Amino acid sequence: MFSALKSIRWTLQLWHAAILAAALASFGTALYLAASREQVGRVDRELEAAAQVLVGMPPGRPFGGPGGGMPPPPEEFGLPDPNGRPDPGSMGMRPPWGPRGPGGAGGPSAADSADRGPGGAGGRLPMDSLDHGPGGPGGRGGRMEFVIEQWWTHVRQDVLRRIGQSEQDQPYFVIWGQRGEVLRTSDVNLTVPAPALPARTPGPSMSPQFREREGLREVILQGPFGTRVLVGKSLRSEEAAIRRLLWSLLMAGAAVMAVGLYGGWWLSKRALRPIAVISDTARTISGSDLSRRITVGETESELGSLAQTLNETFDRLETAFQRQIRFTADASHELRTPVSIIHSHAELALSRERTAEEYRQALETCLRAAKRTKSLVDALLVLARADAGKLQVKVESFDLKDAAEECLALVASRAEERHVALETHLEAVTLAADRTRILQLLTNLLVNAIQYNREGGRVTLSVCAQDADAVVSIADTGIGIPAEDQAHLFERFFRADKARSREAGGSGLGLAICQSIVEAHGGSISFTSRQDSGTTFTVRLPATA
Amino acid sequence: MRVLVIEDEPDLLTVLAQSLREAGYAVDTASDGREGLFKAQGGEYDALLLDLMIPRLDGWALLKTLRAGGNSVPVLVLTARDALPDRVRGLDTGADDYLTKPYELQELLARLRAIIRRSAGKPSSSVEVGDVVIDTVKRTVVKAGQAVALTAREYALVEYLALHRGELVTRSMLYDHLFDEDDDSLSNLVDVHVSNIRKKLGKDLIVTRRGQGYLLDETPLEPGRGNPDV
Repeated sequence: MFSALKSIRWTLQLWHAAILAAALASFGTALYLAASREQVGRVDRELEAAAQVLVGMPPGRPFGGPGGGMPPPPEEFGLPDPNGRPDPGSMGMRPPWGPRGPGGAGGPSAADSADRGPGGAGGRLPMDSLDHGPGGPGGRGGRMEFVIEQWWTHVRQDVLRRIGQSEQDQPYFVIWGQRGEVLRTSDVNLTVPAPALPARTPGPSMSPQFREREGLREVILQGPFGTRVLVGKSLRSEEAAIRRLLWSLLMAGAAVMAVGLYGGWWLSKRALRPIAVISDTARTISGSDLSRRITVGETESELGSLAQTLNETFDRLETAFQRQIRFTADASHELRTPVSIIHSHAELALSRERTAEEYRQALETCLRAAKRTKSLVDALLVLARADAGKLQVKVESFDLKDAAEECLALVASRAEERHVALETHLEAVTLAADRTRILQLLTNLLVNAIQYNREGGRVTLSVCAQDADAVVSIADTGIGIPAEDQAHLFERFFRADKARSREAGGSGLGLAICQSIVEAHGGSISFTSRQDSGTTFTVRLPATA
Repeated sequence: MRVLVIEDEPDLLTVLAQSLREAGYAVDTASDGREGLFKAQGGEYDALLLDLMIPRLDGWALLKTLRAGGNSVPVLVLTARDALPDRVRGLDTGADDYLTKPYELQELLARLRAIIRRSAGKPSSSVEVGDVVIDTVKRTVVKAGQAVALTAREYALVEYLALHRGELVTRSMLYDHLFDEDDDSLSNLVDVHVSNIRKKLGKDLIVTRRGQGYLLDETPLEPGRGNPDV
């Protein structure tokens, strides 16, 4: 499970899922909030419109307009017909408790004024004498009741039209008088807490108050003569609608998440597949066959350049391996030859009775071959150690001039054989290095210089100090090194002139060993050569290791 | 039998040449590829012993050139290169056998005999002619159950004729195949050897074709097999 967590694919997927979920959640929440606010706003507007109907103001008529301060004259309103037929088309209906104008007081007014005392016709609001509900005691309020009922039915229709059709919405209204007593209510069983007493503004107020309680939304308007009108409705259908919206959002969100996750999974699979291919190929290559390469489809993409880099690494690995294999093959070949010589000579000598001379010759040949084997094995060991970085360098301080003179003594007889003159330009230079190895180095180079020289030629050995280095140069007047061989000169087992060096018993490792020794001391070795003119080798060694 | 040994390591070359001579072969030597190719193309050899890592022209190139020129002399490659690809390459380039150093002399001689036998089309290592049995492995000749003592040269002659049994062998072929380049023998020597052999093994063994050469065991041959009388 945890390895799955570490997988890029799973990480990608988790992040993708998290981001997608966050985006969907915030989007969904915003949508939900906006929708519910919009919905509440809509309800409020409807409630307000309904309340304004009750207050007796046509919606949109600004307070303070013509006739301002007072509700517009009743002619603007359709008053209920004295005969009881309602006027459904009117926009606003004058509440029965409103001030009566001259015109159509009619029945209600008469009825009212019949109840009223000395306030009488003229437009006093007979607040106190309004009955509470349609079910009120008959008699005195009968006609009034009827009118109010009629009026409420129309209003109710209007209100219903504005604020919702379904019964579930249960719109209701309450009208309180100036002193907080309930003047009128749509349902006598309603208990609605009275709103706070308003500031003492006698006229109707335009600014509604909204409140919500127990899943009901209510609007309170200040009506004429200090009345307060409240219209409310249950928010049940709105809540149902909002819940439906919420569900839809959740379902849609889940669907989008599912699609997004699946798409992301597929996409990451596609993107990461080349990585799997590359790693499989790389594993096969390094495991078995170093000559194969990863096929690079597109070189520009990130994976393309990764594959390219891997291929280049494999190239270098393969070259190194090939060199190693060649070295091993050459080494074994070189070793086999002297072993064969010893074997064959001994076998032949023993195959029948021989003369003492024949035995002696055979033994001499065997010894020669054995020496050759020994020097080869020593050389191979040096190179193997150098390769492993374990070439031990016993550092001591000595004079390079002395070491050079020692080498000259060693090669003197060889030089004489070939009639090569040895010249020296030696300065005293103190060097901190492995003395034995330096002797080996110098001897090797001197032997080469003598070997590849002409008869009667010259070898010049110089030792001096330059900057912080000791510089040794060995120049010969020999045949030079052909241009095509120069690049391979330090290669192991490389022999420029195969026939000659074979006679001399060389194995082609001399210069490779020189290079290893020089490198182990942190120095450098180089040469210049001119065909038929001669070769000069230059060795630079740091004077202090 | 005459073989050419091409090897650049001098100590090995001398011991090979000596070993082969002591085994009854006439041996020529070459120490680089060019000399080897020149001699191989010019001379008549029963087999070639070839080292691959030789200077001037390496063994593979020599072999390729030899075979391309139509020379079908049997070649035994003797080399220190023992890796599988090397062995395969050597055999595919045209070698008849491949032996790695260090080698056992017995094996070398046996393989040499085998490739010479194969190229002469004589699968068996012993030849019977009447009551004479020639064993090319043991290098002995037995007549009627009795071992016959032959000199090295005599045996070589008999062996060569036996290997080309039924074929006409001219005198110059015998010169080429029995004596190496250092031999200054006179041509008469062949006749002397033949007469000595007849004394030891009977007159019927070697048949003379006047003016042409000798052959062993004139059995009726199919027409066109090189017998001019038929």
